[in-house]
Amino acid sequence: MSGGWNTIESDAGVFTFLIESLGVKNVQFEELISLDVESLEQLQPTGIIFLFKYPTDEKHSRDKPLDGDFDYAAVEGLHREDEKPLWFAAQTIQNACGTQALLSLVFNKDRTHEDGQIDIGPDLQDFVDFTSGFPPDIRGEALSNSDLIRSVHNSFARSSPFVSDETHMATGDDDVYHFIAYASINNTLFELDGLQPAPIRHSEREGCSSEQFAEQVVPVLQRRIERYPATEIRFNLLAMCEDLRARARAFGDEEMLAREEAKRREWRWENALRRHNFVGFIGEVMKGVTAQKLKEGTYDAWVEDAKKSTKKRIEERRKKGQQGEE
Amino acid sequence: MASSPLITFKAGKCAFAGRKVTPDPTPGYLYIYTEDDLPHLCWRPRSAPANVPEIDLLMFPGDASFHPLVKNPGAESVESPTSGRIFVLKFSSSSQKYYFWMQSAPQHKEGKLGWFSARDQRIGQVIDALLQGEDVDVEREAQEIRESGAGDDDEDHGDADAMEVDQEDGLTRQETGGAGQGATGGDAREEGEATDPSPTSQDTNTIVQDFLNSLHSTQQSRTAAQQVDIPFTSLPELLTPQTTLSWVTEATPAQINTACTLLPPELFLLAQESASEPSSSDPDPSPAAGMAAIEALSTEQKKEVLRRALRSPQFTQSLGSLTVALRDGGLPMIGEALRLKVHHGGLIEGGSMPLGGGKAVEAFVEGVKRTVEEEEERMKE
Repeated sequence: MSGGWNTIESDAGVFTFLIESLGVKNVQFEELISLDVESLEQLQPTGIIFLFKYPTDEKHSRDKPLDGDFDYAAVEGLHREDEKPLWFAAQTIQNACGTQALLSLVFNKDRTHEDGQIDIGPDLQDFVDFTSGFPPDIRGEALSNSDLIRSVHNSFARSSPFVSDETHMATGDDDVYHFIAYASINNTLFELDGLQPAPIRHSEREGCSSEQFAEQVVPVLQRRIERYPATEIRFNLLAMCEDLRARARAFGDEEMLAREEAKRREWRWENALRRHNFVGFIGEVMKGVTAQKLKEGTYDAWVEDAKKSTKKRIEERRKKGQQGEE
Repeated sequence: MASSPLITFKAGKCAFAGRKVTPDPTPGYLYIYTEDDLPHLCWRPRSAPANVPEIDLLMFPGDASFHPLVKNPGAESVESPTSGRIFVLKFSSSSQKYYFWMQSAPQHKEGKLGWFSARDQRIGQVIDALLQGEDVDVEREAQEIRESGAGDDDEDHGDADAMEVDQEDGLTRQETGGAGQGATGGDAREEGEATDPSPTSQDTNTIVQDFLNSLHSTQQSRTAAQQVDIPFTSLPELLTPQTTLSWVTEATPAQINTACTLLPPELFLLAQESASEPSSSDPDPSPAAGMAAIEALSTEQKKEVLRRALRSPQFTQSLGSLTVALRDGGLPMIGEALRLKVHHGGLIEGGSMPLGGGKAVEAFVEGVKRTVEEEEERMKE
């Protein structure tokens, strides 16, 4: 029986450090601010992760996806004699799905693929070898049961010694995301969605090389985004590329290098806070603020203001609750 | 062990197909009882014995919501788009729905049949609160509902018509006037002596146990049920950035240092690094390295780190989750960990259960105040 998986944030810094902690070398995630071919091409991405807030009401049929075609045979490697089978796993655990999308990109672009170059490290290589003969649903199980992957994933989880659904109410944030990966694999454009029965092919076979990936994936993503009502969907695009510091060094671009170093520092900062247990700090701040307010004579007003703010929030929530009816 | 129903009111069930909801004319009761701290929402025909509900739904707190079905959401007037007052029960864990219609006399002055009076809405709100797992003083609510409804009813129905509330001992009845033939005096007495409803199956017990086990990673403490609760406030609303940043500005160097030791050492190492150095990837610097970094920084630099931390989303999230932990019975444990002088150790008066809900947060805040005051006293000596 596998242990629990906690939620992690869908953030470029989290994903980059997560993949590094799993042993993958020279890979970075970058958030895409705008969906256009030029910006994407500049990054020279090896893949894309598209994430959006769930639930959606899309009906999935087993015969045909809403866009593209199911390609069951790709998972078997049946299209060409020397073709490498596509690595695809069914999603089993909601909280694991970010890591799962990330790994499905990385496993399809590693050094064993003719158009892949990623060094996934010995631990993940073991995992890939171990699951190579499995069908997608069993692979998904194996992933959720992997102690290594789960423990690294959880180490990036929100630091909360108290895990509860009510946290969402208190923080006003509900991170139920669905993650989908896109990549050019075997020179074909694929969409990898663990909730679908098979990978989805969006280009002609051999019709999308790595160089053509940016140009061909953008319209596919645009079509997808257009399926959702604009007001209801919030989404994020993370592109996977090589470590940009390495690229900056290769080009001798000092400015870019400095920028990337600053970004990494920023990520380390956020990560340190993410993993931190704040209980002691909160106690200290509470005492400090309380002492200050008592000294200033503003203690009662301070507590009263907070209570007013709470009453207002409850009223608004009640109104929204009634508005949620048909 | 099951308790007698917390609240009961006259309601009928509905059939629904597609979007069409059809009320079933059978007179019935909708009621809630709790077992093992979990609410059950039930419906039975009035002619059936009290312990044989036709519908008995085990509720996981927060999973279900109970609201009037309204034709104009957000409008002043709460009205169903039908010739009756309809409540809908929805679940976040499934797409299943149940519809019920109020069978008490409608209270609209002009006879609009779909209109929910304040009393009707209140009943719905109490049920919804119980389904969220909130502590509701049902007796007091019932009292207020009765008082708000008084004087509007004609003699055929009266307030007893709307709902009956059974107390734990089941013997005292809340007698109200105006009980006519439609009143449920006789039936209500049966409810008052409610015996255990149908015993829960083995499956339900297992589900309940698993659920309780999965709720918290720390020890599950159950708070005292049926306490009068207050919303009070939350830690994010107390420790706003404005408040905390103002404290940083005024704090002494000693206070700043103490606060810094309670933050991750990595932050101070990062503050030390100059912009041109390559960023090292050691995610776990030693505490010694952290302390060294803290000492190397000036007070102003330390304040800057504190300010950034206090403005961070991670800090705000942790305020939220600590609030939840306090509300869920974590006060004694947290009070002890922080060595706060919490009244009665965070337990309810005259009992051994932890405080819960808004009262726990209030006791926490007061505990901090008492601790601070005592420290001040000690310093003066």
